Amino acid sequence: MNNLATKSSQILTSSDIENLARRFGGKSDDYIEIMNTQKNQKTINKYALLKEIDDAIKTTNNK
Amino acid sequence: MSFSLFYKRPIHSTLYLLLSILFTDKLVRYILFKFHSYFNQHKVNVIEAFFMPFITLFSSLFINISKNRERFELTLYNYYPHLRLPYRTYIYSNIVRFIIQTIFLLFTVNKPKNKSVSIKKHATNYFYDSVSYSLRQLRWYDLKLGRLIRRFFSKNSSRPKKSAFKTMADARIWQNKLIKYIVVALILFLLAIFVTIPFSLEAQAVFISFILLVAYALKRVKGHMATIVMVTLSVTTSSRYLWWRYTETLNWDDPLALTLGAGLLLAETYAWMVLILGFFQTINPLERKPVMLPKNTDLWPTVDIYIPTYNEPLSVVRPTTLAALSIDWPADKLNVYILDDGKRPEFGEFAKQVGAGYLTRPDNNHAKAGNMNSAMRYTNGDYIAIFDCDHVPARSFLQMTMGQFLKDSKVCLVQTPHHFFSADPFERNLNNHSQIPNENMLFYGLIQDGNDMWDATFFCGSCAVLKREALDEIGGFAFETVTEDAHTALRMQRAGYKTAYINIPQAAGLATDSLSAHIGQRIRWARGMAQIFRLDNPLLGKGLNIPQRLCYLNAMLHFLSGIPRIVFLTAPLALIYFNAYIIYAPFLAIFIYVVPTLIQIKATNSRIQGKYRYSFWGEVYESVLAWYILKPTTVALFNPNKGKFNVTEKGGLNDEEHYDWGISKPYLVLLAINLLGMLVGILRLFFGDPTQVGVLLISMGWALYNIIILGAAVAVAAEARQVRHSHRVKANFPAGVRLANGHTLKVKITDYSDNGVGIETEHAHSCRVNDKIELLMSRGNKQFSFATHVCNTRGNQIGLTIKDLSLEKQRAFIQCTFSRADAWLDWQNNFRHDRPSYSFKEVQKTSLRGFSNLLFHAPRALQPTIQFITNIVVYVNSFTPKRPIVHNNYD
Amino acid sequence: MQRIFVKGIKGGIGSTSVVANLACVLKKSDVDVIAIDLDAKSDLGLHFGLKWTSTKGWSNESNFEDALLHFRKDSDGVLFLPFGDNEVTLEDIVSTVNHCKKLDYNASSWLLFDCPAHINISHYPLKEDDIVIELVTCDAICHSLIYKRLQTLKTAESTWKHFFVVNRYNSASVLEFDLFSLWQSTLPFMAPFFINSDEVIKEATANRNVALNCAPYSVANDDFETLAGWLVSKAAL
Repeated sequence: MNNLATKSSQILTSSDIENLARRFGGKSDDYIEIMNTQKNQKTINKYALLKEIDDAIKTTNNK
Repeated sequence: MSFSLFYKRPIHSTLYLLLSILFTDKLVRYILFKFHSYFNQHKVNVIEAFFMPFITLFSSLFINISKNRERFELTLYNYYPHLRLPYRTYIYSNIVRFIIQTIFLLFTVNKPKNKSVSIKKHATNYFYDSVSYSLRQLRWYDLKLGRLIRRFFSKNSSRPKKSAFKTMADARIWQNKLIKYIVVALILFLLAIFVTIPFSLEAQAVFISFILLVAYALKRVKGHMATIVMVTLSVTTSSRYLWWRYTETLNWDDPLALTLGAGLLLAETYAWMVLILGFFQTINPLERKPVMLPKNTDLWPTVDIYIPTYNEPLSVVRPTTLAALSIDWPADKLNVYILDDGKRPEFGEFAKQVGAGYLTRPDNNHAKAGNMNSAMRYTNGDYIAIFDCDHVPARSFLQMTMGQFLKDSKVCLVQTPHHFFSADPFERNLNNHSQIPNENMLFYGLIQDGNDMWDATFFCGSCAVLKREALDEIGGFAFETVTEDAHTALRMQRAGYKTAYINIPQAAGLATDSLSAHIGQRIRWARGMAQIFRLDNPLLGKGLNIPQRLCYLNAMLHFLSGIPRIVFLTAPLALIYFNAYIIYAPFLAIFIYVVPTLIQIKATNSRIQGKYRYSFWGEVYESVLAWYILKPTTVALFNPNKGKFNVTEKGGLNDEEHYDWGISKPYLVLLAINLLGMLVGILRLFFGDPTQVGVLLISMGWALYNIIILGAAVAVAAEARQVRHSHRVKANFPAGVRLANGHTLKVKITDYSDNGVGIETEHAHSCRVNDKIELLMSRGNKQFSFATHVCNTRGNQIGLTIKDLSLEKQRAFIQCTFSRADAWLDWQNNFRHDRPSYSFKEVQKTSLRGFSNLLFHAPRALQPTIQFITNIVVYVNSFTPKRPIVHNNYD
Repeated sequence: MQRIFVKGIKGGIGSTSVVANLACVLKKSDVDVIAIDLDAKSDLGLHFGLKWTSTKGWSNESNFEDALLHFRKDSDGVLFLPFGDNEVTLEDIVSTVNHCKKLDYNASSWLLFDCPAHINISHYPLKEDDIVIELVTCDAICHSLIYKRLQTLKTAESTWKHFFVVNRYNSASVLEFDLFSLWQSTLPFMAPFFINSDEVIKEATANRNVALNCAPYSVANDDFETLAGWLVSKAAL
């Protein structure tokens, strides 16, 4: 069971941040993956269905 | 009967009878057959072809040739490896070789099973055995002793968890100023006694051997305390040596020797100062760790990224800009600007396309510093990150560096190392890329970390973040000198700001691509440093503390190394040519003072710098630059305002391998006079005054060392061909591919460039050239897919080309490769710790290469002569006995 | 016993093959796995090499003791219980899930349930240690379904560990890439990885095997290992 948990660091999705953290002894959790709100908004605006859902959720939340 | 038979028959019939007994039909047929085969097939002349079968037959009486034939050939090859093949063609010279080798073998090779050895051979065997035995024994004792000492030391040092240096430095006792001064004075007093007390030669020998003994004992002891002890010993011995030189070794009666000796002494004083300052600088590298930022990104400051460019092509600037735009920082707090002094419209267009700012200015005053100062008028981020246009930043750059500013509001600069993914001219011309630590490794690996300890980190012009507030306070980037970076940092430090260094490579770029460009860059730095020294002397001005001043002093001194280096390269010739005793002391005294001191210093430096600079390579690097930085630094020292900014040209291409005669001319001259000096020395050894032999030998040894170093310097000047337009970066990270049939394969990325990727599959694959496959690479938890073509396959290796990517995909590609957070991490970890003997061997090898290059590239008129001489040398060498080839049983 | 419920957010997302491959990965790293087919299609057996002609399973038995006879072991050592070909009610499924808890087997073993897409996850008797994996693909329908589900998840005060995992991801598709990036950065309960679309998964079933055995060098293989490793880390919490 343990070998699975450790193995995941070396396989495909292995992250560069983990490597970096290992180099200076920090924690990879401390690294903040920036979420690009502008980009997300662009995606939502690009597709009509996504826009509709987004608007609907916003109105319900506002209520 | 037999008697009568002989008696009666004529002589020829007796012979006939005898022959008929010896030569049966079978034999005659054999001889004829062999003769034919030798004559017709092997093209041997008639006489030899006729005799060969007889020789074979005759020797077959003693050896079973057919049975031992293969073994015989093998033995012949093993014991006579240098016989020229085919043996036939070189029969006469081979005979000579055979004889020489046989004699050699008789006297040297020991066959343990062979009982019938002569007494002499036995004796030599015994001698060799005993020598190798005692050597082995010695090594064994060495190992045991080392372990013992280490155990002893580690027992003592296991108690304090903090580093000994820190414990000492933090002790409360230092708070009392009086005690502090008394202790310092006491140490200085003791040092002064050790340095100045005159010893008899015997006493000096005892003293120095005691020091060497301690140094030897510390060889295997790890830890900082041992390093400090080594440093102390080196300081003592070197200072003592210098004192001795000043007080006892100047020949006041001989004006020529006095002048030359004084020159050498000054050079030595310079070297001593650099040594002591270097020790001081690197005694306790800080090795600062990144400070993590708060989780709430609203608290993060705004950052402007400047990418100044002047004449570099868009293909160089594009990856940098794309990578800068995808640094992990909130998009509304990150602005990227291309500062184009070339004012090229296509750059403006590109910037607009990718969402970067584009800034130009009406004039080009003050080069890079002026460019950035002008940009500061248009941007308003709290911090300014600067990347030379060829330095591609990793996505983690800001998160690794910005924490320092938030932790300490006085920090005005965070510098990260400059890492180059292409080979610099040294590495390329010597073909030792990532085998020997390169020239700037010492600076970024060790010296900057050491500087950081003393709060004296230098700004290196790129891959750094600066605080705008601090820049505003000092009136922007300093533009008075050609090294605006160092000068700017100096001013900010004066204003009371702190600088920090983080030794994690977070950006990488192209190294200078030709030796002349490289030297040009160093000239600029040297000149800039000299200018700062004159205009804004860090020793005199306000605001710096003493360690900072010393660190700056060392940096300046480093660039003044030109003259002393030339002095060292020519010093031994003074005695050989002019009989001038530049070190006026008896042979024994010189031997006892010089050699142990040098050993001690080399050992200490190797210990401190081991991972970043190998022994003797510093001399090579310095020698190449010495002549060229000599003039500019001297000029700048006297007239600081002369000299303008020259842009370091990068990303170029050398069409063909060429030899830079212009560059290597000074070294050729130095080499020639050193070689001539060796010849004169040899002549003087035989015909000169026998009392001078000792001193002469020392001088010649020194000259020989200089020749080796110069040879290596000359080797650098042969420019290697640089074929690829885009540099391949070695890599090792996982990725995937999706083949045309929908199957996926996990692969390892082995290298990449901006238009291709090399991958390696774990087991056999079915890809063929021109197959279209999708490359899947991840960045964080996002996966990007790139359409690629297979351009070559070899075993499990596949080369992929990536063409015509959209801008968005280009950006993604940069994000998955060049700007990976871990892309440049292992650059320092690849190197083993220095081993001086190995390192010297490498220098020797390089030096030989330099000489062969020199011959190979000599002017056409000289070629035949050189060819002729080489042939003679090779021919003569082919006669010298060779060591037999030894196969082990496991082959 | 760690219980994992794997369910597609809609039909045809490939939950059964995920269960089969996941069971196989876990088994290979020495975790005892019991896979229970709760889906009336009763196709989990086919992934584990059950004969086409053997159609009976737990649904054919009226009490669970008799259903035990239907447990099979596949060549990798995974225990599994086929569904059978009888029609069942929701109550039957719930009682089977509950009975499985009482299985007298290794306490550290994992129970994988292949749940039908049409039964709402809240109908199952879920505890706070249970993990529910809702498989989605990157398309617009799933986008809308996820948002609907999120609203119910919020209101239902979920007491179990709920995750969305993207299956059959193809990053070459612009829409899929856009949606995945959006979900990753905005949605709660998204697993930080995905399972790549791979022909091998389909082919493996056709060849009566799992992808893991057919193509050990495939990316999909790695994805399942990532999924398993991630589940192990979540289960330990």
